[in-house]
Amino acid sequence: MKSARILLLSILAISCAIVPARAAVPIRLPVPQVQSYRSASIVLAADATARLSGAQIFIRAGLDRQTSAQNGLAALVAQSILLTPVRPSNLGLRDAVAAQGGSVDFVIDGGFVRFYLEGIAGAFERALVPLFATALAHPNFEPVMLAQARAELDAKIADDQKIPLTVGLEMLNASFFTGSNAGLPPYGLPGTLAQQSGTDAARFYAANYRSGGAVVSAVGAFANGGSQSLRSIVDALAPGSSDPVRVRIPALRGSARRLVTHRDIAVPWVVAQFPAPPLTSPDFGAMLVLASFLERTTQDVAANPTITSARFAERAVGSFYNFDERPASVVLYINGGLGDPTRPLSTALSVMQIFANSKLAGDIGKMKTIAAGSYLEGASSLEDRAWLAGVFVSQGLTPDYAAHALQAIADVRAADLQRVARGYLANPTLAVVLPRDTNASQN
Amino acid sequence: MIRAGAGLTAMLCASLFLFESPADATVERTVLPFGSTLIAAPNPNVATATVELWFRAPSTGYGHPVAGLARYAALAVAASKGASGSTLSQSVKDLGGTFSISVYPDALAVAASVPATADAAVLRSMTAAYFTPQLTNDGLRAGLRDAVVAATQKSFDPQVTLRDAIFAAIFSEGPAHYPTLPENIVALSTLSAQDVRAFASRAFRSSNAVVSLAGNLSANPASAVRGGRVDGQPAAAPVESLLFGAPQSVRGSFGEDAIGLGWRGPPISDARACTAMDFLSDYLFRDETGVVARVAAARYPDAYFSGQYITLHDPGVMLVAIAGKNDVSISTAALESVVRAQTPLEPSVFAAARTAFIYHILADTESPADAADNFGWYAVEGDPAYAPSDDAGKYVQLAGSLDPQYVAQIAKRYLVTPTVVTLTASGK
Repeated sequence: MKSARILLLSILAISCAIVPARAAVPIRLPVPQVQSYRSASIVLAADATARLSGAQIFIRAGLDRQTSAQNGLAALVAQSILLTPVRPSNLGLRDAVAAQGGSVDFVIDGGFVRFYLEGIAGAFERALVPLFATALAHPNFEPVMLAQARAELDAKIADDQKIPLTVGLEMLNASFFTGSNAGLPPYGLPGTLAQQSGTDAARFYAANYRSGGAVVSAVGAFANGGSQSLRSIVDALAPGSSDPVRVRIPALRGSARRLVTHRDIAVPWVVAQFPAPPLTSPDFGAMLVLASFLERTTQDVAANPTITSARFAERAVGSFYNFDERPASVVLYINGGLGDPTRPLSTALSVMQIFANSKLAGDIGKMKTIAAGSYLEGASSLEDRAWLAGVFVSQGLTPDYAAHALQAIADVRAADLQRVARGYLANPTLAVVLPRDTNASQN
Repeated sequence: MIRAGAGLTAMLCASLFLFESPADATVERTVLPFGSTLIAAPNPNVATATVELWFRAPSTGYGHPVAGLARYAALAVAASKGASGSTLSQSVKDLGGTFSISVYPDALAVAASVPATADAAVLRSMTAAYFTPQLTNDGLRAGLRDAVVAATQKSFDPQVTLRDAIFAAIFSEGPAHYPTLPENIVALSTLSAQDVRAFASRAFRSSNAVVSLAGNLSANPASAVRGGRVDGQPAAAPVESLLFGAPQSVRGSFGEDAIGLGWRGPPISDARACTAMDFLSDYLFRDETGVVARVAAARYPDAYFSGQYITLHDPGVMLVAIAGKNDVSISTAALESVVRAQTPLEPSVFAAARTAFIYHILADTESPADAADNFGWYAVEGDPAYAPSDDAGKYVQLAGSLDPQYVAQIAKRYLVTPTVVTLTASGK
């Protein structure tokens, strides 16, 4: 505990000494336009410098629309759409898009299935959007197609099982979402996928691929203005909306808050999950600051700081704030490549405890600057920009994701950090992923 | 035959029209008073900016070759405290940005990606640090420590290990013969501070620098450049390495079974041939979409596979790296695929592959960091106007002009006998 206090004080002292107080300079980006269309939102960020155009299509057909017996059905429907043959080539959508100079893929979130369609700007409106809209409106769930979709999902599931962070997150999410099935594994399980028929897929599609609550968020150069072609995506969805499946999943308590599993990996991993305020909360800015502080502090504890920044795949320690999910969470992960991962975790938790309960005397300007920079780093690609604008609109906010977050960070005071740390970062649920040959006594 | 030809012409024209230079895209190129070349690709629609300095310099230094010297010197500069009391690396991280150093046999790049409003301040700090390098003992120690970490990471990385082994087997002398990251730091640790300073002063001259900027940039970024010197020296010529006479086979050991394949390719001066090699690399080897990559992923999901054409001053190298239990099967598939590539692709298949290739090129250079990297790389390799990031440049036009016969001809000329590196799992 003493070392943690010294660490915290030294971090705050450094923040005061090196970086003079900087007045925050606002970053002004063009604000995307938002239109309502058939109970959906179309967000359009025109960028005349872009050589590509991309659109994130959020449809309320995610994990929380499945019953537990339907585990994997949301992914099976989305994968089938990627494979649906489209004219004139009769290639599957994914290959047809590639042949026209683009790509299409999907992610299954707690509440949404989210497709990302991207392509050469000149082809996007003219060729890619019509291909996508056709497959979206008329997906093919015939047995051959479904078998191929299942096989591709089985491969994704197998790949995910090789990634300790994903394994840990799936374990944590299974108990984190207590009011819905949003914590089911994104692609299901091979056993449950095998049980989903074409009729099941067609029913799920008919019930949930609706325009109500959908968001189409596009960024890029649009020769024809963009609106008309993006509307055609919404037109591919039936009217109306669907509701999540209501369930009650018991929350973990007491000693059950540590989940352990084994995989064929080289070093142990620890993944910690904390509840967090939603994007719409007044505490959003404070949590952005705390999440980046948590990552940096844990990195400092776990390893000597390096001169260069580690790329995401190389990071032994990291954290992220899932503000796009409801409920939101903060995740901290540590791999054991640098030694026992529980030690930096313990120190980080101690630092957070001190943070929550001690009076902060230092300047928090540096923490805020780092948090703002980290946030913007995640907003530099076309895909990220479309995603962020879409997330903000899906939660009832305006699409100016940069201005909103930077203002939220600028407004944070020391007292906010303490209050939010105290309210959210005290008692995480842990997932421990161990190498298979680890002695059971180490559990 | 005539009909097929007409169809092909129509398809070629169609895919060329897919790409039009964006109306507002401009790339500014300026030579600064102290000799640096500045390339700036502004984009006011993104929230970040990337600031990079590129230098032509041998990774092994100017005298007796010392593997890793260029990287060590660049790290030490970034970790030495300047007049502000902070290091360059730390000041970038304190902005929430990322800082990186990339070293190639013939060049190195220092890069920072930061919030849009910080580009000028970072460019000021970066040029001040590198153009007038002040190496402190703490900076040298930190540089050596990072070299240890990098050497350890490299020992687990099949791609880097195989690349180094292939280059060592293709190039007989010069920096390309040596790894850019040393396997240990014995040689580096015997260098004096004076040795490192001497390298830094020669390599990091302002007149030897390409300043590459992309993203949401300040109005006049050139005014932020500091520390330049008028030294009467031109930029260094491209760094050359000598070749072995013929492709060879080499054996070694690694943590798992691995095979590397390498073919010498055209120099950057033959831009159309380089573009054809890029196309072949994309069509055959690109992750997830390449013909061989798809086969490898479907049949051997636990194996590692990558392939790319590395455009260099002279010659370039087509490189394939394979690791895992089925390395021989995948290697056979890769070798068979390059033999098939010597026969022209069916026109409709070629047209679709070429359109996909152009999309991949644009996607790979889309973010500010990717665009700045791309401009810097092609500038130090000798043909800045060939950078794929440049809308007004020649790359996309050349890509659009490729046809099945020409690509097959290039495959026949360059993808014949590879240099082969076979690494066996250490325990075997």
